[in-house]
Amino acid sequence: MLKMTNIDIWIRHRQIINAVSFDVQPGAIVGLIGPNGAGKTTIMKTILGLIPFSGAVTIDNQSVTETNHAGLKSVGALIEHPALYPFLTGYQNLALYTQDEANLQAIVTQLEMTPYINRKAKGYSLGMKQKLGIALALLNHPQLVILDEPMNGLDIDATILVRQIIQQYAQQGTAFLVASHILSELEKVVTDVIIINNGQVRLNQPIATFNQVTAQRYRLQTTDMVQTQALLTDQQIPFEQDAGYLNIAQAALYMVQTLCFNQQIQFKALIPEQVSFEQRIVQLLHEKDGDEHAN
Amino acid sequence: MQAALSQEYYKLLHQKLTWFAPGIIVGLMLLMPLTFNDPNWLVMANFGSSQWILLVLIIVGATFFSMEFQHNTSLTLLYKAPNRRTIYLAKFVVLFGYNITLHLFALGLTILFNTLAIGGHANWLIPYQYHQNLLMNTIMTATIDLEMSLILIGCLFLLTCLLTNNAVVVTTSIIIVFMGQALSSMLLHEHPQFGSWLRWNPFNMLNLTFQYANYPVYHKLTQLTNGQLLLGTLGYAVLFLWLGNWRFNRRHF
Amino acid sequence: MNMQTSLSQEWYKFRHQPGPLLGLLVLLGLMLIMALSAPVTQSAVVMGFGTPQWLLMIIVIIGANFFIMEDQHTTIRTLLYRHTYRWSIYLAKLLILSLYTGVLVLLSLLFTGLLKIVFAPQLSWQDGQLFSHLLVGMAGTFLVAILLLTIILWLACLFPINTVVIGLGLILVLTGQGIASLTIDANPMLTAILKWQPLNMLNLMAQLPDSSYQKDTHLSNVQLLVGAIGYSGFFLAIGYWRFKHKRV
Repeated sequence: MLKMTNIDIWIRHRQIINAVSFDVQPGAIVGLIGPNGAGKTTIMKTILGLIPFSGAVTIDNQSVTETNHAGLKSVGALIEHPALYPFLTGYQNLALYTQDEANLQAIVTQLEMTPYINRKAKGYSLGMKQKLGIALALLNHPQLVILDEPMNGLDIDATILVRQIIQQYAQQGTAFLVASHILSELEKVVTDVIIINNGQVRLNQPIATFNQVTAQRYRLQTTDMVQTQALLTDQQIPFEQDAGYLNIAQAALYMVQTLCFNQQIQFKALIPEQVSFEQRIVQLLHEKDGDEHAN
Repeated sequence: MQAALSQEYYKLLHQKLTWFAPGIIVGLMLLMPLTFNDPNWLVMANFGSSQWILLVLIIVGATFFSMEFQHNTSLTLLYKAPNRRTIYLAKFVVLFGYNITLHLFALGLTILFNTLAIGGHANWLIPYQYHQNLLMNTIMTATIDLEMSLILIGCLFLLTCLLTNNAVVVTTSIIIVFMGQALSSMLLHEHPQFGSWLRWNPFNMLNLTFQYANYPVYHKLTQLTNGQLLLGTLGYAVLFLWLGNWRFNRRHF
Repeated sequence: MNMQTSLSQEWYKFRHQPGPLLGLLVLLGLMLIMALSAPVTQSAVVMGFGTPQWLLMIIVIIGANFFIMEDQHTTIRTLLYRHTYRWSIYLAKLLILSLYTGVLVLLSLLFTGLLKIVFAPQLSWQDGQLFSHLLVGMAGTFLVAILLLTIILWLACLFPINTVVIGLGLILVLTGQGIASLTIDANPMLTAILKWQPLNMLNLMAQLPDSSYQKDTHLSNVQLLVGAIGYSGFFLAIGYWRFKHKRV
């Protein structure tokens, strides 16, 4: 659907984006993650042909450049904050760009905006404006939707609603590129993860692979905790007390099992310590930073 | 108040417009010698900078309040200040400070242009008007003009606080500057029977600077003495500023 | 997104704003005030009761706002990515504004006729070619308004701040012709060059009904016409060039 190839962007003699390449397939929901200033918004603006760049951007095999937006016919976007005409009602802001009245109505209903859709946008709260911005991006059955912090200002119900809508559209073949700092939300919805830092892609993986991180530590509980501790101390296997459990490193896992088996000690529980999505991202970002400094 | 003042000065000085706008004054001052041949009058009237300074004040001043609404900084401004009057006063003081700077700038240019004999060369020390030498006349005119511009600043602040639309504020103010005097003379001319109180209309006060530089001609028009114009200007300025402040205090953000 | 879509979108935005209708009402209101404030003479009718001046000021405000609002509300980004070519946006806005100008001119022409009938029935349309002078004056105003629009759009690309563009535009309207006359007469040796300056083209609307202006402009009607159209093209080109390279 979307193909970015070797994108370089320079702004005032500074390289903002460096050799970025990635794909977004139809039906995929790609999460674009990175610290502030990493280049997420710049990449999104580039896809929309708003910034001069070198490299290639193609959408459905049609090239997109700063001077040619023919390839953006079936793209919808919400970048930074919603851009609305305050003197138009929510409905009119949508009517301005819609090609199909029925589609407009369906989106308004889906996003539960009907109660205020005929009020002028200047009177909207942050959440209402955000929903309207998302609605604008979803108009006319887009094949690619770019969302920059879509959950900004949304209440819990609206957040769940938007998440469901994204998944629904994706199931129908729409590709999504979503940038967000709310990792817990992103985790629930993305199919692929791209991490950007300092204008470069640091990681690009399906979420399943991303989450398959081998646990680094294990928590265990046995039928004889006192003897188990004594065994570990004898064998000089490091461990920590952990709220009624013993916490050991992954490397010692098999040895501990063998030792306990030999002493007829049974395991009551053996739990791998899961790193959360958030922790994993932070870990990766710091790892890559570390690599850079080392080099 | 100190904090509010330094914040407003900071904002003013960091706007590009503040530094480019005086360029308009230079350009327009240079055109005046093409209209008027009398170097003494040119110098005393600071090369007609009065109107051009007013235009710059309008353009810069109109954004002074409206930028807070536009960029949603109004809430921060309000909660960080001890009260709304402090903000209003601070903005007034800063804009007036800018006004003084513009007048000094025009005065400096007048001296430069005269030295370079642009529009002729006038002698600073010859007695000219009001039994004073030209230099004193020039400085006095600039001072009087400074006072006269208070009425416009007051009007500008009032309009900005009344109306949310920047475009209307700027347009109305510019029309007042260019046509206010003509409107007043038209009113006085068409309705001489009401002259005794019509001459006190606010548009008439805009004639103050030109009347000071050319009393015989303008006095016939305004039907007021310099002193009366001065008082009238001050009175209206205070009224407009007070009304603007009243509106600003009641405004919902 | 083709030109037709751009036009219909710009028209949609334009008609949903209160400004344009207000502008029309203000124009007619000011014309009425002019008719009421002094006895109606032949020249008042020919000048459409001050139409040129009022109309140009209204065009400055409406035009500047119509363009700068996209920057103000950051809707410029949506506009740019949803349109295949930037020129369709620029041209669509200019066309809508030109049509609006045409409507204003037409309505002020009709209203002038009405005011003349009501306030000066004794004047005949044949007297001193009253009607034809009024008509050419309005045509001149229309052309000067188009020139002004191209200048305003160019300025709006340079300084996307309402107050600045409107301020400069109004200064241009109120002092432009005066500055042109001053500079042309200042130096007789440079007159041949200076008479072709863009500010002088603003005099088209005054000269068409009254050829005595030729001694100030030093240009014939045809020359002024060519100049106005030429400069409109020039400002359109540099305005679009600036818009094309605009960073959002």
